[in-house]
Amino acid sequence: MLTARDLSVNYGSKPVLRGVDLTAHPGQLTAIVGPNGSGKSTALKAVTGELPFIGDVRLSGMDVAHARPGDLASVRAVLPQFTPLAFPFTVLEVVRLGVSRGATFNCDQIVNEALHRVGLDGYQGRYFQELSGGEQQRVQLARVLVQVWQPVGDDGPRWLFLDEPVSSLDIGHQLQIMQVARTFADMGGGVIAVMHDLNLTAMFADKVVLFSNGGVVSQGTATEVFTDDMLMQAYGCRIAVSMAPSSGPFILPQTAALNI
Amino acid sequence: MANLSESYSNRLAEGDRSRGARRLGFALIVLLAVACMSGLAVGASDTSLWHALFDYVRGEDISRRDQIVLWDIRLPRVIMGCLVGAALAVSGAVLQGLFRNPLADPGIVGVSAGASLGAVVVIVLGGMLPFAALLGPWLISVSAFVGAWSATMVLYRIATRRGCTSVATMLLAGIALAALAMALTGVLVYLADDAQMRDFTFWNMGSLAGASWSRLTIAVPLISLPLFLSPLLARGLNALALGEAAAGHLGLEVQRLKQGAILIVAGATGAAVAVSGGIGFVGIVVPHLLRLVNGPDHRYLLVNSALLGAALLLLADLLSRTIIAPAELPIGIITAFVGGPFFLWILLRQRSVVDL
Ligand SMILES: Nc1ncnc2c1ncn2[C@@H]1O[C@H](COP(=O)(O)OP(=O)(O)OP(=O)(O)O)[C@@H](O)[C@H]1O
Ligand SMILES: [Mg+2]
Repeated sequence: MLTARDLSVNYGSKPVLRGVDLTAHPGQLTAIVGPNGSGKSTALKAVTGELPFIGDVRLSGMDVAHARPGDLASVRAVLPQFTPLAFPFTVLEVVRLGVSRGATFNCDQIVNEALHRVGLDGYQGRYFQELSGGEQQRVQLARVLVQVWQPVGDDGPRWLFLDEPVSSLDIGHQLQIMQVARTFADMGGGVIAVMHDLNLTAMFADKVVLFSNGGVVSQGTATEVFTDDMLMQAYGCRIAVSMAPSSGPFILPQTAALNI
Repeated sequence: MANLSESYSNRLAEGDRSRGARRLGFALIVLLAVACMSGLAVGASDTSLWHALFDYVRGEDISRRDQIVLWDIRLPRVIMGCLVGAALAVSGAVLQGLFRNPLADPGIVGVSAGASLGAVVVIVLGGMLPFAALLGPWLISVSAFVGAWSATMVLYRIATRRGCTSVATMLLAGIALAALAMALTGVLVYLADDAQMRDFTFWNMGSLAGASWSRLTIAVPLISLPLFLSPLLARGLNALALGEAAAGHLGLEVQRLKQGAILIVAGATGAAVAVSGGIGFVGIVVPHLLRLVNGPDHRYLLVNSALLGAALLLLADLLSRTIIAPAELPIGIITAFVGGPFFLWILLRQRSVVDL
């Protein structure tokens, strides 16, 4: 289980997150949504131990602020919003970076299986820098998947932290990648994903956390969080939420920003 | 079924350059052996390695003169060439990995400027310094090493805040510090008399001519320790290509990696520059060439850089000793003459392909 209590982050003297409480459970896909600059990435960076923070964050009982990078790396993998790459590595070499040092499994077989899951069969020999934006994002996702290959290890569940995993993907690949994340959760792992697409979120997430202005304004199931009023307050525009009989809420944009 | 598994293993091989890198490593060992033998066989004097070996095998005595040429002049020079070439190439590869930039060079972390300052201080002020007499023939080397080492440590201190070293700050501060050291060097050169100026200029152009067993006794441990430790950085430098944050998420102790890399570079380059003066371009050209051939995987890049750097420097030294024999051209001039145009050619040829 991931618990963050009274989490605050400052950049210099500027407060960016204020008193955020967050929980996520293994076996579930938890989505973080909210407008640009509301602190989603910052929250993700804090709970993964990348940024110093005030408050208490525990991941499967580990105190994230004081854990060793190696210990954290064996239970969770992180897909950043942007991943720059220096030097001309091939796709295969990039995905292999995710293989941990003491890995006992057949590394190449898993690397290829991961590439297959993100729809990049046959890309092994391509240069990473030559790929399109969406292809690069899927290579990075494959690398992250390889790092925590078993959703549940001997020592408990593994975690995926994904910052906008589908933001530059076409609709087919969006569904494919969300399904990969969904499967990871269904097999007992924990997934925390920052999302912008509210419909995809409603389709795939067990739990939604809505951020606004550096704080959590609502959390619960998609049906609970996605209400016309809540979304209007957070995003500053009119959005109509309807219910589809089979797949839960769907969201239709209405008019642009209210304050224009 | 057979077909299926065959196509699967073909696919595995794609994008995997480690096999080629290992093969290249073996080829480089052969090249290095050839370079060492040529270094022993060729020189200004007419001493023949083959005759000497032949005589030795037949149990006959080797003339005293041949013994001196082979054992006391050429062999230490070959060993020194190997060490210096390997140190410069590996330092280049490590720094490029650390700065995530193929143009990083030991000069960037102030090593070269610090070494020059250290050298010029004792060349010009040597007579006035109390410890000068104690160190005798090692004086310039020791002082250059101290200069290189202190410059890097000052830089490290400047760039480190709350236990975290900013590589970008290091790069910028390195430029400022190098300018400062060069200005001080300039002042001292201005004060120098003609003989001192000539000493410094020759030291600065780089040469292996000073190699001797006594100099090797300090150079061997100082250079080989960081060289042998450098492979420990390989996996970390690979992960660092994804940026510091992602490397940390992969389980890397990023700050320890940075410290290790800086210590290794300061040690290896500091010592190499101290005993051989300013030899440019090896640190940039060698890793760059190897990345073109086998990719940037540091597990192979570091070892192969050591081998190729050593072999290239020996060959350059061979040229420097023979081109205008019996006089010697400083080796730094050769590496710059060959390395400069070669590097430009690579850049022009590469421009269209993936940005390195
Ligand atoms: N390195 C930084 N230094 C100073 N301020 C920062 C830094 N990174 C982010 N911020 C600020 O923190 C706030 C939250 O940023 P964050 O990246 O968490 O937003 P986000 O919710 O992920 O937005 P987006 O949807 O655009 O990715 C923003 O106002 C941003 O300007
Ligand atoms: Mg973000």
